[in-house]
Amino acid sequence: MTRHIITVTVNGTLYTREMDARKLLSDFIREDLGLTGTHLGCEHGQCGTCTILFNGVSMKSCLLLATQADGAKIMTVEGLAKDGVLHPLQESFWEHHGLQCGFCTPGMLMNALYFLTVNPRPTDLEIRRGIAGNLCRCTGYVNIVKAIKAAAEKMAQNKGA
Amino acid sequence: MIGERIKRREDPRLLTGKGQYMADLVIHGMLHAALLRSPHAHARIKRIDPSGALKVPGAVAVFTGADLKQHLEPLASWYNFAGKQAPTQPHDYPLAVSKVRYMGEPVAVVVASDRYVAEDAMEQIEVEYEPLPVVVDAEEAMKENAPLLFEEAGSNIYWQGSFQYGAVEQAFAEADLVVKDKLYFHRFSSTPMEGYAILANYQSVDHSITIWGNFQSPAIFRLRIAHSLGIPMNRVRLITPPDIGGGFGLKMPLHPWAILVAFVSMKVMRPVKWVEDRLEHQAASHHGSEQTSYVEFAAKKDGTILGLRAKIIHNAGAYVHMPEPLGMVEWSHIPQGCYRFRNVAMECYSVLTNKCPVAPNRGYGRMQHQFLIERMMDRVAQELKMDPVDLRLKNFIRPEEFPYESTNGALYDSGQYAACVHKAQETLDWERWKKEQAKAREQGRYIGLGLVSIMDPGVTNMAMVGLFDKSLKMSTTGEAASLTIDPSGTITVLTGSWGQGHETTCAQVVAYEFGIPFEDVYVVPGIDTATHPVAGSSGTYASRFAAMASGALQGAAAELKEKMIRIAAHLWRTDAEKLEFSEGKVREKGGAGKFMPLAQLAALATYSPAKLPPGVKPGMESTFIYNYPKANEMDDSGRANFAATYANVVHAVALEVNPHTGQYEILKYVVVHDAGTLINPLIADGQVHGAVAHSLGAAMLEEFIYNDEGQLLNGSWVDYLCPKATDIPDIEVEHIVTPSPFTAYGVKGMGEGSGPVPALLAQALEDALSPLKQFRITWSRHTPEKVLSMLREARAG
Amino acid sequence: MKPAPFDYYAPSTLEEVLALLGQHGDEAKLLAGGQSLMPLINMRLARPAVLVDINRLPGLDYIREDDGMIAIGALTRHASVASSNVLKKSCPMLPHAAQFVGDLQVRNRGTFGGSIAHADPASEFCAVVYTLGGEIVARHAGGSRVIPVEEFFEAPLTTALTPREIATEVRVARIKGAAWSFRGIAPRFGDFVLAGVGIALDFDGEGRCGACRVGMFGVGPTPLRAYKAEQSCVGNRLDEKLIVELAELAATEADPSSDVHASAGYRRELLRWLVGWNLRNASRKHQEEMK
Repeated sequence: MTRHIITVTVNGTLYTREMDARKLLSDFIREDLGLTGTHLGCEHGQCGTCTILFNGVSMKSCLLLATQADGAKIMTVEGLAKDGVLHPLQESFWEHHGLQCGFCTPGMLMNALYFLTVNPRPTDLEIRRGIAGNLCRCTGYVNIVKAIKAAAEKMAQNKGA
Repeated sequence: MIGERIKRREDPRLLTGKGQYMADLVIHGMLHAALLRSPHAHARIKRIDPSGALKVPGAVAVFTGADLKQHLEPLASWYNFAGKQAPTQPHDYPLAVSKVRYMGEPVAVVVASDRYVAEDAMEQIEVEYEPLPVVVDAEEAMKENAPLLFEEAGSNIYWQGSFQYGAVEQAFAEADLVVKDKLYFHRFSSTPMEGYAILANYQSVDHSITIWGNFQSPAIFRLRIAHSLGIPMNRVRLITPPDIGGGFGLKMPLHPWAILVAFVSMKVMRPVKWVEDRLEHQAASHHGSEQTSYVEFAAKKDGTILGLRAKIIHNAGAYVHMPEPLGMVEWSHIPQGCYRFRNVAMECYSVLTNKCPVAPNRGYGRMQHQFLIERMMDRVAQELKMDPVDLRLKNFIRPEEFPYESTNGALYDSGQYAACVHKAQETLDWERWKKEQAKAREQGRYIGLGLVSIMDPGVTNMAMVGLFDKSLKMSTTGEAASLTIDPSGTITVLTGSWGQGHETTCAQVVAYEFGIPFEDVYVVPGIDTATHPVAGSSGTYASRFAAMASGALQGAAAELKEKMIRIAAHLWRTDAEKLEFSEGKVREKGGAGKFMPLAQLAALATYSPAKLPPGVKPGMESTFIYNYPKANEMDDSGRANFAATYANVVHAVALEVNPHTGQYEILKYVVVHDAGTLINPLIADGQVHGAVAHSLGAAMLEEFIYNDEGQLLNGSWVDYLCPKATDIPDIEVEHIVTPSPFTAYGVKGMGEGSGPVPALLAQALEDALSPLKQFRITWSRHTPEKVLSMLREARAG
Repeated sequence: MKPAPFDYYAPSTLEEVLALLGQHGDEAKLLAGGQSLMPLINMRLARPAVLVDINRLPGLDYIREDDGMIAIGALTRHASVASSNVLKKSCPMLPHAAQFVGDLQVRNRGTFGGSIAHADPASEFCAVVYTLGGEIVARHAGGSRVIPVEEFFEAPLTTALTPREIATEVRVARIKGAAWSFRGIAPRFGDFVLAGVGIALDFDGEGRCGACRVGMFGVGPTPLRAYKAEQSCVGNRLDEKLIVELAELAATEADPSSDVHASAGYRRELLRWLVGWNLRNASRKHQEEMK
């Protein structure tokens, strides 16, 4: 098996690490960087729990190899709050009880974050379709949809202000 | 404070990636385990050669069932509590011994430097199997000539029992109408986002072991884990980490894997971790119970239900892991549903097959019973040409009849069932949908309405185990809590905390009791049997925690308040009767006179014991073990109060069927919920949403499908269809509050009251298609394909 | 599960890719978006000895009109297909279909060329290219060839590409003025369909059908065309009687199989209804455009 050295920026920090070819990006983030906020729910691309932003775009990190991240800019859930201040999406999930066990939450947040960049004022149906790649077994999605909608409004206001 | 929609204090860590789940735990020197699993549903293991695995660089050790049998006691069963053994028990180890009995059963464990290497090594283990005939259907498995899973037991029937309450024969003799059906409740599970995970660390110096796991009930299983491992119970420490990625009951029977990983740690003298992956979880963790029921309902012409007679057959899968076979007798919480009929006969069979073992799964055993009752109510309504809602209203237990002792002794605490129905109809806008339905029918469209009403019992009284062995005399429903007030006046709470907002709701209760700010109460996340008090049945299962923990917290708080009053009375040389505890201080009654804040009292009790009155112990700490006051033992006739609280839930739906594809769309979904006093309605609503989604998933999408060879055909999340955000409608939740007269604050358990959803959709689908034909849906998963075949049947005439 | 070991290369030129394929043959597997391949690798169901990552190849991410066809670079992401203005104007069926492919994350990473080369019989993209007609440009060490789509899909997950070839471009026929419709039925939103249909229709001035293409997917080992239904359509008015006939005919041309999600019979019934629905929908769209 080939080994590889990569340099990758995660949440603004530059890391250089060496790994086996087969190391999944999700495992790399969790094990090599110690960022355990990115969770593994299925490891076959169905649950979205491991969703991160890869060069600004939401992707499932279990379907990427760590070596593929060489030179990339990655953002994980740990990068969402700035200086201890929660992102409006995090605030909104908290406010609307958009999480229960919290296991799907990091992936849900990261995908919602990207989704709102391409659709800043979504309808409920658009939100549901936007997060169709993220399974949640606790909430029935009811409050997640509410939280994303409310966050979108808040973020639009913040932008306007 | 109680009843406020307070944002959860768990959330900031979960929202920022700082949660601590099992997979996140790391100990220096830790090894990783992988399990080799059987590709066969039933086969003899002729030979296992692990030598190839040990040649893989990084692999440390391999163990098989033979190793376990040599060193461990078999897995526990309930019978052990009565000093007996289950017939299958000698063969039940965490790894297969000489035979595999379901696809995915572990046959060997490998430990290695990391999980990747462990899986490489696992692939190098050679196993020679001799396939055996397979039986996957429970009724087939009951037949004389069926292949036997445990030859020595002589039968695949693990357990059978018959129970009769009331005058059943007479009820059926007097009936104007007897309806009969065979109903099938399918196999699925809530498949939590996080699978099972265990980390075990053995210390040879003192022969102790610490086992971290996403346990839902370390209290119940600690004794049995200790027994299997041969380590004294006081040296077995179980720790549940702060966060669990969903349990839904399935994480109760974690003990086989806790024992396995602990054993490996003992052997290799290193910490060992095993994290179940998705494929393992789907195929071989545990599934929810699958039930076939032969049911008869007796009724009068006017719609009065007289009795129920049922033969129920549980497909238990290949092994019976505690708390099974309790699923078989969970009907005892709600023998007669919400209704007044008191003649109930249940004939129950727990049957072994070559499928994955079953376990509690949200609505454990009650879903199946509720499905049965609600379906048969609809059948009676059809036969009598009565409105199904009217039939329910006619048969409900009336508000003035509470507390109502049901026919088997289950003491229904309180409820207003009809009021919930009316509110549900109002919230759904029933009359408007009736008009829409009529209009749609004129256009050849098919709208259906449905409404069902069920109980959501909370808390298991372990008396229930007496139903399958009378010599088991238990009566625990207990939960434990300890409160410590420190000299700064803040309070630390130790109790079970397993997610679902327990840190928040427990803090609410304690803040309320002492009249102090919510922020001044800290609930330690997770649970550790070395530091936390536990009761006989501690855990988060059977919707028990809110109702039982609030009792324990209230009890502990009362002790501390009384103590502080005694101390203040002593200091002030006054009568304790003249003092009260209010708003964080002891004061003279009425509040106008002297007072002393709790920080001062705690400091005094901590630092100045000499100032305490005689007989008052130093410190300001109380541990309280609460047992539900109405939790009795089962009597010889099989009667007991098998649960503690009896919430009521009404679900109502309007849906439309696409007559060309059989697909149906939920147009509106309403739940009216009465779980007594709600500690935190925000959290309560979330529980209702989750419960509905869980059951809608089951009713529409989710099913574990096996072929005749016992191969699971949809063992990944590609094929096992969990509902997505696009599958679950918005769910409107309303509450009616009828407090329990027996629990602290009138709280009832809740969050599993979605059992009837498969029956609800069946009723609404039958209603939608009723212009074509009167259907009798006897199954619980309603695929568009089945709906289309009904349409085809109707069109064919 | 975790992947079995493999060697990994991420060449930055096509020549290197072809050299690696030449060297390793069917031991090697190309990795594009990986949204279908990586799950198989993670489950150890695919065990390539060598993984050749083509994501660092420049110049394969484009959508352009080219000689009456629309050329799509193999590394064009699904999300680009979904939002492409060129496609919305010249081949609207493709961006429409794209919204049903997987989910947002899959569309962000998955590639058009990867989808086509993966050849899932229920793939929306394979279906659209097959319905509208097109060709796949394949490069190998000795040069390149163009494979008509009718010859490309051979069996489930099997194409005419050899282990030493790479698909670099997919060209879709631009059908001018055709009314179109596309709809599939999946167990859940974004899942592979149980049955799906894409239709492109021309009408003459009298309202009779001209050219007609009826594509079917999820109902056979590859995407299919309902050729008999197409022939019966041409030159006729699309009235309700004809629509029912065409749907029946198309259903006989499908070759569905059964699995855990649906029986072959149900798939055929869905297909029958979808052909009718799409014909009506295309016809309605045409009439609206006429107004």
